[in-house]
Amino acid sequence: MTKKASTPCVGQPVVRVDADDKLRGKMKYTNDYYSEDYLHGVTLRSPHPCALIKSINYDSDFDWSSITVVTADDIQGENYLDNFNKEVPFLPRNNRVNYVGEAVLLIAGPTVEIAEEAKKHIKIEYEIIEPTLNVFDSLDKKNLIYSDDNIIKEYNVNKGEPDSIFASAEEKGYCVYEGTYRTPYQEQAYIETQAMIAVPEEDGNGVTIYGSMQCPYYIRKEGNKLFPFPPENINIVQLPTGGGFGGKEHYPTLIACHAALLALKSKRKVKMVYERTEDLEATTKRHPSVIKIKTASDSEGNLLAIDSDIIFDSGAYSMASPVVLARGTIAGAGAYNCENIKIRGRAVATNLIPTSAFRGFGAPQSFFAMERHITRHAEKFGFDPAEFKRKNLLKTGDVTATGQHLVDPVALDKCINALFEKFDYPNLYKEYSKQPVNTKKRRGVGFSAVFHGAGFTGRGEDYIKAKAGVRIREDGKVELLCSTTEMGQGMRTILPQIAAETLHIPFEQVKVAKTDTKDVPDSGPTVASRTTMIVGKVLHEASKIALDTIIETLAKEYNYPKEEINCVDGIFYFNDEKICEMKDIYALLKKHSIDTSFYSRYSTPPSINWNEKTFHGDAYSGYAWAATGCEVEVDLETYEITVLRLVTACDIGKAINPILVEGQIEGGAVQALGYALTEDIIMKDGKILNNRFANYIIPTTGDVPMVEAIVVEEPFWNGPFGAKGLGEMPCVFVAPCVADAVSMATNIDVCEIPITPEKLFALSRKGEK
Amino acid sequence: MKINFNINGIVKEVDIPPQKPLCDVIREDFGLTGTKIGCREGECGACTVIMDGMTVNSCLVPAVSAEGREIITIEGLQQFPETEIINDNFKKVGAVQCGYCIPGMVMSSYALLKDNKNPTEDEIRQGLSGNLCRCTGYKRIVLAVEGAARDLNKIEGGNEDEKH
Repeated sequence: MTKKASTPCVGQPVVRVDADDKLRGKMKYTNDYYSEDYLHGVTLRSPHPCALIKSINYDSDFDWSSITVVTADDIQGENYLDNFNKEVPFLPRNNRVNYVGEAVLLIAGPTVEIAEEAKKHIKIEYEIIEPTLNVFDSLDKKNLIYSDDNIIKEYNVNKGEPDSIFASAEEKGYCVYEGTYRTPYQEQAYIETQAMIAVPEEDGNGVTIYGSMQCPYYIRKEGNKLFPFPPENINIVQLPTGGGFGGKEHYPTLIACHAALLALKSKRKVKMVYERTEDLEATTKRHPSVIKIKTASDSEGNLLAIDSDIIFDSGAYSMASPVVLARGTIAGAGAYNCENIKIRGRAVATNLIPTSAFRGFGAPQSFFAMERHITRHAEKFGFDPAEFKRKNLLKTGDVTATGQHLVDPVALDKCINALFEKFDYPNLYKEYSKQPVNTKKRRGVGFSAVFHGAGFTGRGEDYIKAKAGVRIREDGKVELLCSTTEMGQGMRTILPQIAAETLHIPFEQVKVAKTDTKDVPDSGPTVASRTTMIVGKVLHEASKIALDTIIETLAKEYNYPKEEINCVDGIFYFNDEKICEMKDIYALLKKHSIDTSFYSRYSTPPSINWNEKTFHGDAYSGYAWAATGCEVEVDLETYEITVLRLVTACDIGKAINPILVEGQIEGGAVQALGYALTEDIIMKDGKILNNRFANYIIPTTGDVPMVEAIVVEEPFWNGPFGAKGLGEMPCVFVAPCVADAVSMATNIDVCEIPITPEKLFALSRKGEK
Repeated sequence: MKINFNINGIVKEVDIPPQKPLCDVIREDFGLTGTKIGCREGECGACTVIMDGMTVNSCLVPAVSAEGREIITIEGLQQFPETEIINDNFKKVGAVQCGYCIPGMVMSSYALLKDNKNPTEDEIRQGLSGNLCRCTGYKRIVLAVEGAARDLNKIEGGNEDEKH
């Protein structure tokens, strides 16, 4: 029998399926839907960081006939998000607002202008409560704003005996070094602002919500609790989404439900689109952090002990803080192999904007602090930073901070070798160390090594048991059924590549079905770099089941031995003889009374042991690794920083689509350059002052170099075709490299991002380092 | 106020407030939603259109100022052969991700290449500096414009050959 091979699909730079519509302006995003029928929803927000609502007064001279107002009193179901400690309200509970920008009430009118005008005719009387505006006041319990200690979540990692190492350090002549590191808020700054349209059922007994989102089933589940009707009467349809980056993970649930509350009360379709200012002021951001690290090494440069104290500002509500903190805590010891580790992670409540998911999810903060600290430790005691890091980085067989035995290959060495081949950090470091001090411009280089675990922490995937499927259509096309959303990362291209390769059919025959909860199963949220690795795996399995079933059915139908039936590019053969095509399969399956949809579910590998209570065990089933270098030039008069090169070698298991992979790396790295150099939220009395793109500065074409991505492929045994997660890691590794490089160029010891010229100037006057 | 617009060659009179931003006229009164709105203050470039041959942020142009001017949106741009070449290059190098900035990027790329047949990387970066993208890191967008410039020159070169 001659086995012909199908045209390869995985690993090919397939052109993304949505590119053409997007280029021609044909792709319709939520705000592109217009109808005379719509009411337009707006939100009245708290101007105070902490206050009680005493009364709501409506101007009796205003014409309210076309206006619908929803307050907390209109909520019939549970007024909280179930996902997070049951304390994030849709609208204020007990009349209390806890941050500037919190939704107080909702207004819908025939136009945005009329709704905004109505807002001006509502007067809220507040009783001001003294707010808590920083994490240290919060930890001092000046005011109690969360539970009895203001701590939303605390995790502790303990390995070995770090305390005794530090205690004996002086006697043994160990090198001990301490540092404190600070990271800012970061706004996701998707270019499409948050947007939802809620369409009520005519009988008021159901609603369909369309919009820009990452997690349709999150909205459905929370909506089920909020609204009195049967669960199946709420459906969520994701529309093309103009970027998410974590910012459309949880917050859209609030907007979707706000729109639905207005729609059900007014019995009209309601569209809610945030303006940029509102989006910047009201939606969740990356957690700011203060991280204190102490390390000990011996005189040979062996890392002996790490003590890390991580504080994340969670803002007024928990949102995803506990899980963000989990990832941040696990990253607290960096990618280092060390016998003695102590990490304390705390997410602390304040009366500030809630912080939640953002690409990297706690890891960017911890890796910035740890990587920068290790460079400083090395330099302080006269070690070459790269040598010091290489000596201590995790290797296959090592045990991580949480006690995970790394049995799968640790590809850090591979990544570092690939990086240094293209970017000779060790020699550049030596060369730039000899630069004259009194020049106008000086250069510096930085280097970082990181990991990123894909999917949920520990056995977290077990809570979801992601379900996805393939459906054979009558026309021979195959539809992928999952609730995973396209937000730019390319899942509508990559998942079909995986399925097409598995089914041995041409890529063009596979499409992802419309993301509508009425039709597709819950494959989990589109977060945590889990789409390719987890959902891709489920679809790979479902495709295998489909193909096996088809072949078995063909064997039965034609009385051939099934071992001798195969599929090549969508055509089924018995040996060399063509039996039929994909378009004949639907009828065949129907004839044999076989369902034309095939599903599979994800389960965490049994080998993964994780104890959530002790925070010990196998934190992730698969790790991606990266080594990154950057070179900067700094003008020593203006402190203007130019990033000349940013090179990164990322082990992601298998690049399903190399072009999309490189695009993810380049884009994430540039977002992280913004984090390192310009992006921050400036507040006064809890109010965000830089609430526009004119003063919240994200990178433009002129600010960034051509990021050089090197793809390293160390296959992961449990990933589809060996693939691991990728999306978040580029946001993790950039900031410490940049801080190293700027410190080297300026001789100013940078421990805080963003590294702005103003900050460098202030530090230079302090005469640090 | 009744204002005459010429958008993509279609001339139409609409009755609107004189200060209504051009982007809203394009989207609401002409139903052309390829022009996106990202900030309404001229920072993000998602609403870029071409007015009398120059790119403008249509969110900053009041309706009255656009009266009688020749406006081309992303939909209108499709009639030009250059657009096809720009699109092909964006697709080929993978310059599109979420796509929300992309119509504006294509408008600016088109205008840039009209003015400058052989732009350097710096000139491309300068020409697109008014268009924010949060997904791609810009590298592939710059590569796409470089590729489009090359392809356009090849075609023009070809035409010249024919003349001889």
